[in-house]
Amino acid sequence: MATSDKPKKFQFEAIHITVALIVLLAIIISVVTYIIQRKQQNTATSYQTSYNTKLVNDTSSPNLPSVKAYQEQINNTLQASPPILQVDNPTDQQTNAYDILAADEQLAELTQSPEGATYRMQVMQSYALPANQANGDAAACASDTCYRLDIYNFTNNQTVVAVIDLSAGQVLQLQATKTQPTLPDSLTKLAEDITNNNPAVKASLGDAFHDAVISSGMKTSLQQTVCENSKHLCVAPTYVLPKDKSALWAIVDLTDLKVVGTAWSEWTGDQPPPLTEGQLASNTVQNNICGKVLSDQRGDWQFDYTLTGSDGLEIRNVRYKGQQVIDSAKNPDWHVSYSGKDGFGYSDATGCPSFSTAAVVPSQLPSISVGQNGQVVLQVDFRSRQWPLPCNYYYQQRYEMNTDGSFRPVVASLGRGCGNDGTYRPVTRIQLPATVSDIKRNNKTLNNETWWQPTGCAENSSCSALSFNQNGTIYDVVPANGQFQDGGRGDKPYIYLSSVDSKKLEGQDDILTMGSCCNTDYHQGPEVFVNSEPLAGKPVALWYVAQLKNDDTPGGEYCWASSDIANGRYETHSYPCPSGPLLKPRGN
Amino acid sequence: MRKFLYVLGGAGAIVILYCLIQLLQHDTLAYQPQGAPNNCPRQPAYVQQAKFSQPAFDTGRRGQPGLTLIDLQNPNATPYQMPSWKKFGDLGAIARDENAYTYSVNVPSINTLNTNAENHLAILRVDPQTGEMTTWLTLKGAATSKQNYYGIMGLSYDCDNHLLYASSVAGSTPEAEKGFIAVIDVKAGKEIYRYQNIDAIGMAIYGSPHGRYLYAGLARNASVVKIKLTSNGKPFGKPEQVLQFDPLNQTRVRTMTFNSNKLTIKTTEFYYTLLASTELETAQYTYQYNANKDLFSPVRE
Repeated sequence: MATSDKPKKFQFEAIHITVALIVLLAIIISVVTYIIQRKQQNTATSYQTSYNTKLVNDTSSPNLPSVKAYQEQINNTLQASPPILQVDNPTDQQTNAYDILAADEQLAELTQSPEGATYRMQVMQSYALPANQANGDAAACASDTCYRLDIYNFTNNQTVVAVIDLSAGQVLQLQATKTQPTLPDSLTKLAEDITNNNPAVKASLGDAFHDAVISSGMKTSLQQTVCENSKHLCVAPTYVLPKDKSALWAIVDLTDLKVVGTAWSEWTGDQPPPLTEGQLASNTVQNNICGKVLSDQRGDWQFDYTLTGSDGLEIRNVRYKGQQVIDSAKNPDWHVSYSGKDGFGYSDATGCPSFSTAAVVPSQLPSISVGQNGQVVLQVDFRSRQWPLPCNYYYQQRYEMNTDGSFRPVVASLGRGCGNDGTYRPVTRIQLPATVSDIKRNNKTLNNETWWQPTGCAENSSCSALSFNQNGTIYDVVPANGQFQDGGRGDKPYIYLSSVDSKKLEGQDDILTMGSCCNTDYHQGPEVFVNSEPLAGKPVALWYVAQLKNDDTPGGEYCWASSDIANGRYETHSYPCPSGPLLKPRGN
Repeated sequence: MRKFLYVLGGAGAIVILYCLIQLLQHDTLAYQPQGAPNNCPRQPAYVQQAKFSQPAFDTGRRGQPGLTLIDLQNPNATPYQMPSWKKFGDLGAIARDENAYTYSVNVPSINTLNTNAENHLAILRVDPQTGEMTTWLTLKGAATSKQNYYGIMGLSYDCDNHLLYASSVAGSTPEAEKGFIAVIDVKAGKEIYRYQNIDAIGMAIYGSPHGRYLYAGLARNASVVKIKLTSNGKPFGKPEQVLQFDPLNQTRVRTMTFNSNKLTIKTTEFYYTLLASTELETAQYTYQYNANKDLFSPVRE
């Protein structure tokens, strides 16, 4: 038996080994195939560079001696002729070139607006014209001595290039371009002085500031940047910390002479990833409040808030002395219609600056303040980049919480829009808690969903359009009628009441564009939620659509903005049209 | 036990065979045809009705949603628009083929009123005879969301392979790049390949002695990448960076065109939002392709 068993056992082991080899080979080939195929597939995930950004409200820089001295130079230059700041310590040839330019008749057109306002201008570079630029109008420079002056117009964010023939004593070329110039050393030093002395920059650098900047005299690396929102001349002194492989950016606005913001980034190579003022602002807003719910408590008020994708700033769980006043409030849409052309207008949504359906976005985080009268205000501003130029918009949201327990969601347009025949119809949604009862209009109980337009209230007086009982407190809903002394002239609102079924999408969630721009009646969007359903037992949405007609009549401007030049810079004049109902506890 | 070993051995052998077939079938870069396959589009018959000197299709007219025909020689001429060209609302990219079909896609502008959330992956086509615009093909993909309302952003037609390339950013989030480039056989009217995990907008195809590539402008940074193409027009392999056109990384490629060995890209800012295009920075860049060095050099115009 033993002899006959051996071949069988041997045979079995051979199969065993063969199968094991096949399986092993299969595994190896599968892995190789997977790796090869994986190499041929795209597995890109994200190309975004992350920054830790912070917006800075710089109030200290104007007091710096270097900034004060430069500001004085600017002020003196604006009164001078020509109103162009010359380079520091000019050579004889630079002076000669400047003087020839000053005498040129064409110069006035480039230094003044059509209305006669003086632009702020400065010679950034003054140098002998390179031989390869001696062509076209400057052909004479092939034989003559010529100078090129790059003059920056801070007011209009333009560079004027002047080519001066010193031999002939004449200006050969004078051309404005939409570019930014190379900075002179004086402005580079000024930018670094501003950041080196800025408390926010110092705080961000912490010990590194003293160790590296003060002790070792660490040089900053000056990075190119732009201020695309403000259209100002900006530069970014950057503090490189090689040990940490990181760098702190500080964007300096050389038009307004202040720090705009700071950002930490990785610095692994020779050059860090670029960063602009707009990117810094967008990144700060996106990372700090989009998709996040923040909480706050001021005085007797407690609330949560978040920036939505397209419903503006939403306030939630608003409590006064611990009692719930409303569940939430937000501003889902702005409808802007122009009467000059039928059906012409826009439906704008406000919200987060990226990955959203917002058309107008904020460049600052929401702010919370407490006034002298104890009023708590949560506010955010949404602004088109080119406002107040035509067809650009500026919307403001304010939640006002008063010491008497009243609450007012305010939305305002600051113009400017596409014409003086515009009507703004902001849609505000206020969700009242499920515990609300006794909803009454003109002392009659409202049992079902409905809409109406309150009438019969004298101008500048307060009338209750609606009342409700929230945990024993009766609140009146008082439309704006010119009585709030905030510049508002009255809302002429449409009011809608709809019940909110938590299982359905009835406006609780972020709402995509909800209505046409240009309907002039109650068809503003909320009517789709009004179906005569009972109001009792569920949270109730109170929709409020104000109607605000703009006006550009001098002295009577409303929902409007304009700008003019003063002291070499554009100054904006805005005329907001605030709107929104006051929810006022009765008896207070 | 023995039976089990036979089954295991057999399964292993099948796996080996499958893997070998897969390896043998791996994609290879095409080297022909060379140049830019964009000179075939024919003009549809209905264009004559507009009586324009230099007719061109446009989808970017303010206050006029849909496709329009404009006269490049006379910008003041009233644009020509057939009724069906506006029924799909705001449109974006345009492509044309050798059979005079015109293709376009829904892209929201300022708000979502003029777009249908269901249409974000639909390719619309205009019949060359009747001028009627209809939904031709709807690609599969992620639905629109409140974070990202965009779908197909770019179209490019390959005259050599008779393929339409459509780039989509549908489903992408700040954290994850979930877009794709679909390759569509226009004759069969169906998608045949899909290149995953890329958010691209403008695209163009170009063949050089170094191979035939799909050039794509990325939606997340100011770069142009190239992706290898097989002789069947299938994109494969990792994207290779070709250009970084905007040192401040503000703009993205909206359209890209090869004319002989010159590449022209038109750019705009893009944040996956509905910011008005009038508010955004735009620019145009031109590059000369050097086939010897396989490099693009900027051309000052």
